[in-house]
Amino acid sequence: MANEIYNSGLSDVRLAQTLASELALILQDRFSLWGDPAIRYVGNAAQTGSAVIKVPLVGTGKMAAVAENAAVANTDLDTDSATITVARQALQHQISGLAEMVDSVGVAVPLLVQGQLSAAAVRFMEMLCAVGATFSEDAGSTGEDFDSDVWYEGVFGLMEAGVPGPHLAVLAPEQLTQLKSDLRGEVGPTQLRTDHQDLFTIAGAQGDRYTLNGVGIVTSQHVATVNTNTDRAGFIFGFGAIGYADGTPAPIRGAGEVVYPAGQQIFVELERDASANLTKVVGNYFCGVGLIEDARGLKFISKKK
Amino acid sequence: MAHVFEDAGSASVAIDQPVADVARLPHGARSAYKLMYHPMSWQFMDGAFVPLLAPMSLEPGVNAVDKGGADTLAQLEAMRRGWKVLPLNATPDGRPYLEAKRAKGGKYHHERWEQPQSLGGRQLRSKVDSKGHAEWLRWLVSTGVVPAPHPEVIERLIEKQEKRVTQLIGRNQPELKPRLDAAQKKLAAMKKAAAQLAGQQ
Repeated sequence: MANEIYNSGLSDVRLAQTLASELALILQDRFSLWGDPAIRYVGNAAQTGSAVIKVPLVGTGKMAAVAENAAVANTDLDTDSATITVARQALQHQISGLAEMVDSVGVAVPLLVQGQLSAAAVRFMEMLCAVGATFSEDAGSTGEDFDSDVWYEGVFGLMEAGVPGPHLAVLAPEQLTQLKSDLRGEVGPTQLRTDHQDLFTIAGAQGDRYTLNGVGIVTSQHVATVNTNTDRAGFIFGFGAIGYADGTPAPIRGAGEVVYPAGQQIFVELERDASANLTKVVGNYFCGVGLIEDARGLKFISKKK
Repeated sequence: MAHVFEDAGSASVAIDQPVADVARLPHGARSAYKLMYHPMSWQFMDGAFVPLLAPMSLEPGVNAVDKGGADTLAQLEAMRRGWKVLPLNATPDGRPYLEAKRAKGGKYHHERWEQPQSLGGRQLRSKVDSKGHAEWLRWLVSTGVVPAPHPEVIERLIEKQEKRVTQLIGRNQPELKPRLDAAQKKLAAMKKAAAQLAGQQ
């Protein structure tokens, strides 16, 4: 037979490729402790007169025995403070009218606006992990894997310092996998504990939260490195060790369009360049993260994968 | 002498490395930082007690770095907690210990003993001059840039290592023997180094 119609001969009426209808996200660590109760919220810098918030700390004394008729001497009050500086964090995109016009999967202004939320959360986690690397006490050693001994050293460190709970550990993913590998061989009473066994039932996907010996564990790729990028500095802390502050923006005057994708703290402005047919999407978030009390936490040092 | 790495963005590039590969690293941007030391924060590396330096991020909003990136208040806060920041040129040759290369979304800042690597547009593990880095840490102590560790701090490190050896012995697992041997060897080296330090003081 002749003149069969094959797909390969229909280049004038066929497309080389089409787009799947659903957009998928590229793999990236988007997990964040933003808004988590483990991190103390110290306040909003809006209309306070300063971008620096001082966190007051005070100690309480204890009584001592005094004779029936003796006058009691004054005892000085133990005070300290920490400062958290709020600074602007931002992300900008610009998209052309043509790009928006031909869009068929949602890569347009609404996506860029919503994406600012994730961008702010990831930025917060990055800042938190940078702060976590500055605890002065540490557990573990350079060049060695994270194992159960290192884990207990950290947990005992907080116990011995009397740090009130709940305690939370933020580890690099390889720190947790090294710990799990070591726990596979752990014998004695610990092998019978359900929380040790539970560690092996949780998939280990991004955002999974574990509990081991009563301490919460989360993982993040943003955990800092030390020793010229050869070691990881995960950290463990009790509530009150780390704090954050943010700032509600003043009413935006003269803006094209302003969107608040999450409450008031993150604001996204749209700016239009009609002549160049471009739409600028600028997300802003005023935030600061800082160490409040060094004694309430410590870092885990272990070999980076 | 420690190896000095060339900046991949400079003109002096290895002849077998295509220009396109050195234009930008596939690594995500990594913010600038300074290193700081604390009298309580020490480690045992390459046969000596050296400071365990922490990175003080220079990102606005982190630990009191202000909106413009000025770190005066951040340094003050760190000093209140016992840290002392090392100036960027605290090296034998005066060149900064921090370098930067173009990367995705900005610059990848790294210490000069690290050489970030990439292959076919993908990130590889960095090449690190560990000996050079350890040599620099020892230089910091020998020249007094970082004061020598307090004997109590060394004692604590040794006790920590003794506890580690005891734990490994207690686990009594044949597969842990290499780890136990390494821990015992490290403990012996730590005690020897501590004795030498005590003899010098």
